[in-house]
Amino acid sequence: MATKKKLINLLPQEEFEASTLGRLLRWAMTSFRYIVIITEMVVMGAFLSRFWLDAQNSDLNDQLQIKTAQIKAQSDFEKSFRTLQAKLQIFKDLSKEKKPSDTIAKIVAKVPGEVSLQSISFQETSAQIKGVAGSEMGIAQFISNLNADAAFKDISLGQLNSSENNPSLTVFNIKLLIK
Amino acid sequence: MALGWRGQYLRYKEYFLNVVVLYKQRRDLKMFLEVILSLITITIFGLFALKPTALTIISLVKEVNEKEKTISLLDQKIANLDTASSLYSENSGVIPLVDLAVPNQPQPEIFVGQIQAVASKNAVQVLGVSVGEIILLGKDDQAKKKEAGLKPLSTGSKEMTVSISISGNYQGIISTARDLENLRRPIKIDAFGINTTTSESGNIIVAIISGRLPFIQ
Repeated sequence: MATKKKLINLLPQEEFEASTLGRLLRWAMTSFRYIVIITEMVVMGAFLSRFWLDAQNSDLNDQLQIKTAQIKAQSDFEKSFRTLQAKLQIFKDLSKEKKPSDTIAKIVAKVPGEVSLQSISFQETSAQIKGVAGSEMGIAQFISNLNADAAFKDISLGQLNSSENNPSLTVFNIKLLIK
Repeated sequence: MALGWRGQYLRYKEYFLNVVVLYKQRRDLKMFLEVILSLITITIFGLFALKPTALTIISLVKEVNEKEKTISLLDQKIANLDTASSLYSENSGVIPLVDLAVPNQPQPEIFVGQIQAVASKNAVQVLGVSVGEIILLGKDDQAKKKEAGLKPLSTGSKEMTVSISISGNYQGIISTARDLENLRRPIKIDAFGINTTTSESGNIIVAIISGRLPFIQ
């Protein structure tokens, strides 16, 4: 059985439609028109939204001016308040510092009976003690007492001599770190 | 033979003419004319109409958003200032005390007076008071302080260095040191030394206290 061959031709048959000018005209009336309309809509939309955005911007400018003026009016107060805060911070920082009188009192409280101190010097994190003792046992006791206190560390005996004035006495020098 | 731009012109003219000839000869190529034109139009409109419009709108929206943020920050600052103002009013009675504790000027004369009062209370003798160099204007010499192994007292504060030499019994010296530490005007004691010397009249205890007092300008 012979089948009929169907021919499909999508190209336009009319002469003018097939010509370049015809195609151009048809494109201008269809696709180009839609493109122009969509572009115009977008541009018009943007143009209209500008009115709204400009109005909003202008309102915000007014608000900014008012609020800036309000803050400027209080600038002197702000300055004095900030100075006050800084002063309080300084006071707070210094209140936290270690008190040397407490440290020295602690050291003195640990001196055994047969030991007497000649000098104590205290710096931020260290102290140096110079004293005389009737016996080495007294010095050992003093060091042991200092070691027992958690506030002191790295206690070292730097010097141990007989006193020039009284050879029965021992002069010692202790260095320690304060926690 | 043409040289330079003429040669290039001839070459590309040939290509272009061939394309036109090819377009005229092949009917199927004509089908793409609309597509090509549409693409060209969209590109031109996009570049010269839509892009500037979009850029303008985007920049405006950004500007509005930034201003809104700034306004909210300003609102917060105004609220904070109101809170500060009410706090200031509530505590107005104690604010002069803060000014006494950390004055706006070094005021060494007031401090010396306080030392004398403390010494007299604890029955110790003030052997000497020396006040170090004070920077009244400009920045403190931080390098000098670092050399001396001193940490700055607090950010933004200036300092007056003092050295006090006192003599008396041990209890009096310790009490004087305690009173100095607890003065309304805070002092940072950098060094404290007690030394005992024996003389004909007996033991003499001398203490030297070195410290720094803050002030703010």
